[in-house]
Amino acid sequence: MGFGFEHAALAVFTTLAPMGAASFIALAYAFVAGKPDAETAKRLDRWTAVPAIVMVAGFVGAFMHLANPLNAFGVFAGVGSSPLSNEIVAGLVFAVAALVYWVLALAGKLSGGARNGFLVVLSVLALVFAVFCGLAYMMGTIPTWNTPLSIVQMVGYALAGGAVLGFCVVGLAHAEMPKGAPAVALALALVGVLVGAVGFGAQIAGLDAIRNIWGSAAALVPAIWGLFGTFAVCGIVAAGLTYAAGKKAFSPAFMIVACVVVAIGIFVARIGFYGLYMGVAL
Amino acid sequence: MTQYGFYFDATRCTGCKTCEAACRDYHDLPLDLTYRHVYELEGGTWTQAADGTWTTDSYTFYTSFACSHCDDPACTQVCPTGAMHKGDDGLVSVDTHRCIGCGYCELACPYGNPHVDRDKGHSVKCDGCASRVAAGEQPVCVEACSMRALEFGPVEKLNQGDGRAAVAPLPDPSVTTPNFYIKNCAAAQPSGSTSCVVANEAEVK
Amino acid sequence: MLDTSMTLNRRTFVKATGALGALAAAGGVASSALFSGGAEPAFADGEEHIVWSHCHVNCGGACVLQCHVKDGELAYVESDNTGDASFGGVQARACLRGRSIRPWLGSADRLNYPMKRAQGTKRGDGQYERISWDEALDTIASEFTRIKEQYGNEAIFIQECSGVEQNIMMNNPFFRLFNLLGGEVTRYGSYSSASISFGAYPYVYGKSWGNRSFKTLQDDQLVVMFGFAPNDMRMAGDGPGYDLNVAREKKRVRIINIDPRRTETCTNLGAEWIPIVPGTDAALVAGLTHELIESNLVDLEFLHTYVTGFDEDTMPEDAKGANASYYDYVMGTGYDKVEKTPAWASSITRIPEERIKRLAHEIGEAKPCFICQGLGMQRHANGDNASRAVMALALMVGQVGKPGTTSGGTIGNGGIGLDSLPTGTNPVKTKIPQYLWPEAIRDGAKLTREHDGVQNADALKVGIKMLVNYGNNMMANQNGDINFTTDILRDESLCEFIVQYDVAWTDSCNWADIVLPDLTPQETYSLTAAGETNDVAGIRFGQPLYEPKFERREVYEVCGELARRLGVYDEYSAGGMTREDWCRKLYDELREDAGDDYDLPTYDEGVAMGAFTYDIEPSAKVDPFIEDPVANPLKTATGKAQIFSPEIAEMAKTWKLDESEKNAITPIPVYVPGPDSAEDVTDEYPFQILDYHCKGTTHSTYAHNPVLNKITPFQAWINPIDAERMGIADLDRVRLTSAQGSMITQARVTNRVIPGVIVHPQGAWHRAPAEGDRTDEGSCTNTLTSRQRNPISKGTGQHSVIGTIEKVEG
Repeated sequence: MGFGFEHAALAVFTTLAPMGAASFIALAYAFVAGKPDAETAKRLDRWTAVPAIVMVAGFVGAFMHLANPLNAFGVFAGVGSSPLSNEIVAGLVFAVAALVYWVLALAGKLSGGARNGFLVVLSVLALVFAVFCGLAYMMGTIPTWNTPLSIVQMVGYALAGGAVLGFCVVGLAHAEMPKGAPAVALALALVGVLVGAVGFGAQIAGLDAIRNIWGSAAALVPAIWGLFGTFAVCGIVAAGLTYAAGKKAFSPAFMIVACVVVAIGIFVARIGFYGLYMGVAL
Repeated sequence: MTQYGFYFDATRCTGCKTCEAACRDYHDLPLDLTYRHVYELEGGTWTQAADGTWTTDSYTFYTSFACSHCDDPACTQVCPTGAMHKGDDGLVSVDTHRCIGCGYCELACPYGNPHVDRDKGHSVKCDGCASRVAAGEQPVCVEACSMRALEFGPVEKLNQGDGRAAVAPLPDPSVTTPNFYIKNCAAAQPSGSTSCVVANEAEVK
Repeated sequence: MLDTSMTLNRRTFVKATGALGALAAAGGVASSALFSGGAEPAFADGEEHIVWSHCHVNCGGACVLQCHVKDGELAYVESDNTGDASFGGVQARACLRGRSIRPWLGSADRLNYPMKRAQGTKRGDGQYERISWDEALDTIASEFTRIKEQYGNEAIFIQECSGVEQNIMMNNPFFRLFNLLGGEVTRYGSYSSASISFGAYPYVYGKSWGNRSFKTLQDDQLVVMFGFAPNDMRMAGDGPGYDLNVAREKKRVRIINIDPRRTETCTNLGAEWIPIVPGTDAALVAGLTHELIESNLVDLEFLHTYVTGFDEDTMPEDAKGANASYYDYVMGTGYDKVEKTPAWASSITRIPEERIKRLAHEIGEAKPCFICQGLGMQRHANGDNASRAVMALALMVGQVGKPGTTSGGTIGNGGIGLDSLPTGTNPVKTKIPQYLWPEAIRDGAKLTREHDGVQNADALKVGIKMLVNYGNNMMANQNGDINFTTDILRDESLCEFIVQYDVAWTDSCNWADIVLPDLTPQETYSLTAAGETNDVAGIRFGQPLYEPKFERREVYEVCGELARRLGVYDEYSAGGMTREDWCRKLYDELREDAGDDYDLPTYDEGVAMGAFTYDIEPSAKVDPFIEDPVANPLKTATGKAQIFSPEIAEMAKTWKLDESEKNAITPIPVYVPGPDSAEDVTDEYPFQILDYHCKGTTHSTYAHNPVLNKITPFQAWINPIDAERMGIADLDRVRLTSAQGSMITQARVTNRVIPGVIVHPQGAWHRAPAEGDRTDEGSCTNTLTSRQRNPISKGTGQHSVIGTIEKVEG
């Protein structure tokens, strides 16, 4: 055992898809608080392609993980019973809603109030998707994963990654933001990092109590605290970069670096999470 | 509905692994895959007396198991497509036309049974040799056991020994309600025991 | 003839297998016509056919293989599903080895064409080129003639054929052929059981006597096994491991196993394991005897009636007055004047004194008590005495020749006595001990009766100049001290011509001049009795699964081709008989001799049935010698069972032992540590290293089967206490080293072995360069074993080994 690299495709999915989804929280802020003019809104809508691509990349990762993707439409059969089906459906609900939003927005069919309402709904759906991403790993036969902390960390990662990615879109669109925006971005990202760290850290702290026939869960990933630290540092650095960039109208160059840094941090944490796979017995 | 199950008389098992060899042969399995596992577990210590003599309280025991065709299978619960399902005979098998190979069954099963075969594009597992059973034969592992330690049949007619398997390295039967019954041998340790370790890691991993 | 009670008669058997017969008939191919049909592959009709054969590798059994064949390939194996499937019933269910035969038959290791050693290369270099069968056979015929003319027939030797031991053919065609041409020097004894057969039984009982199977065990009785592992190596559904398991459950038999290793009888089956230092069994027996004497548990009446040499009263007249009895040895008044108290035995065996005393009481008070031994113990340098000592123990408590007992030797069995291919008469009478064939190559005429156990001659006339290895892996795998052995083989001036004829390219092929590709027993006609260690009766009618592939040919036909070249074909083939003809003829002779005793099917019925098994209920009656020892004396010097052997007393005076052998010929079975014993460990070599027969292979047969390697890996078992001291973790790559050589393997840290001892399965295929340090990457334990031999039997003592273990990277 060691790291969870055999689940790398899943780690790509659970890093990128919730990050892309939760970026709509920042976008909601950008529209609600930033009150962009029509031109700016158009630019924001165009650059919304970035979170869309991130999310699609995440889903491609999930797809790659399947041995037979051609049968993938069958996953709806398990809705309600299979946590994986629920997760995929939550993701698709978000994706469809986001697509509708985006098409309407690009077509100029969204007025200010409707757009803001839509964005709030999308923000909520993004968090629901993150919750279901965590729920997907809560299986009674996998005690290391079977904890609400699996959900908590996913919500944290979504918030942190989404905040950085969302404000990256703001920067790319050269959208003018209120003076308090950098602080809001920093707060959102830090809250995400904190929630993620609490979820992941508390999970790690509880490993000592879990054993199966092969030994203690604490021995599964010897470097697990190192992975935790990598996430925390990446998260804080990305948040700091976002704040600094915010002072310069969310400079795209800074924000792209911040996005990469936060994604690396989350990916490392996810690899650690998968490495903590341990069955109740074998 | 009939519910088939396995019975393992651990007091007769000598750990020869013929059941596993037969399973591998009949199902033409690659080296890294088997539908029947034989775990060897051991525990205890050695003590040397002042006069140099040795005593030991150590013990070794084997547990042979395949799919437990549980009443409450972890694999079917997590399966997103319903490909992993219980048939009318209670045997859990894979509908290969529906399986997407997501691997959740493999992660969830506490008996180490389903496995995603990426070449085949779906999960594979012990199906109780359903085609043999349908033809009135026994699963190949059962017929192979030279010590007659394995049995298979409708659970109401099956030997039930000490009840549903509750022995290391297997989970407590409350987890999935396995249709796997065991007569325990004297050296056996209960499910969840931390006093014994897997002694044949190279063989079962 | 044995008492037999047939659980199944022929007619019910035919009925039970009728469906299969119909299936074979539906295939439309008469199996007897398989090879006569030209190039058309057998059964290549896309359908699955059942072809019956059997496993065949000298484990002692011969299990049924019911092969499902499709398009000329084995699809999968079923075994014996005829007869009584219930616990206690007889079905010759194959073990994991037979079940895993498919990857073996189709292995990349298989030999496909005749080969010869490349010009200009030495033996061991491994350079070979393909040749035609004609060239191969011409070469063998001409070399045979040259060597016979130059050195005489005593220079020709046919090695044992362990890999194909269980059928009517074996390597008999070579003997049959050579015997027509002046014969060859032959061997006695075996690697398996030389010491017990030639160093113990003859001197204790006159010959193998009193051996009974586990089937004769009585309700609630005690079984004490010394170094015997029937559940590790004879795992078949009709084998002794099964019989013991059935008796354990149904007769509530209690089992104690004395062994350095926890065998499979002591895992789930719950037998008690008494760990012992290897090679110290005779010391344990002496300590037990002391306690038996002190507690009045020796059966004096029995000893005074049936046994020579327990005490002064029972010594032969000419040996009296010398304090030479076993009693004197044990009580400190004879031999070395040391009292063999349980504490003394404890210090040698490392079994606690209290446990030895309790064991003595258990043995002395149990009636009946089944005391038996395996064959590992007697493959130590003092194995002759160890083997005799355990027999003596059984005699001292009067537990031989009666219901619920065996001889203190091995277990016994019954079965159908099927003759093998007749080999004619060998004009050469000289015999060498099996184990000493390399010495017979190297030292030739220096091998004598008194020093080396040469029989029927005072000494050899000449060394072995032509060596025929058929169906064995003796040259570079299974002989004690492989580096010693191959050094001798490398020198072409010693043995001038070597043939290796086998199914797979083992390292032994690399030491031959000509290599021939054989069919496996499943690829040709085979006939065998149910097994030499299984207490059942039965016949296996093996039919070829498919036509021969590549240029593989079976031995009887090949020796026929040699016979043509050497001008004796008509005599050899008895007028053109084929292998299948011999199967039929030998079977018909058996059937005629058996008369009504077995209700045997005809040959053709048998072929349709594939396998034919009777359960037998062996006699547990009191032996005639016990009933009346005067009227039915044993074939010993004194007519009694002998703890003191006058024959050995004579040998002790006349035979010559090497000083270096640290061994002794003693008329009573005293404990002799022998060379490389537990007493000899050093800082450099702190462990005894012991090899054993494991589940995955029989000797080296199947040892390269990847499935078996996966589920029963070759690993060095080391106790956790030793592992910690040596810095070794479970599954570490390790090097084992003895004075003889060095090999790489994997460690398994386990409680299943006594501290101070490392055990490793034998049989793995040797893989080492012929020069340099010759480290064996193949985990072949004979890289480590010694050339120790037993003083009386000259049987192998190769298991007396000291050495060390270290972790290696990689």
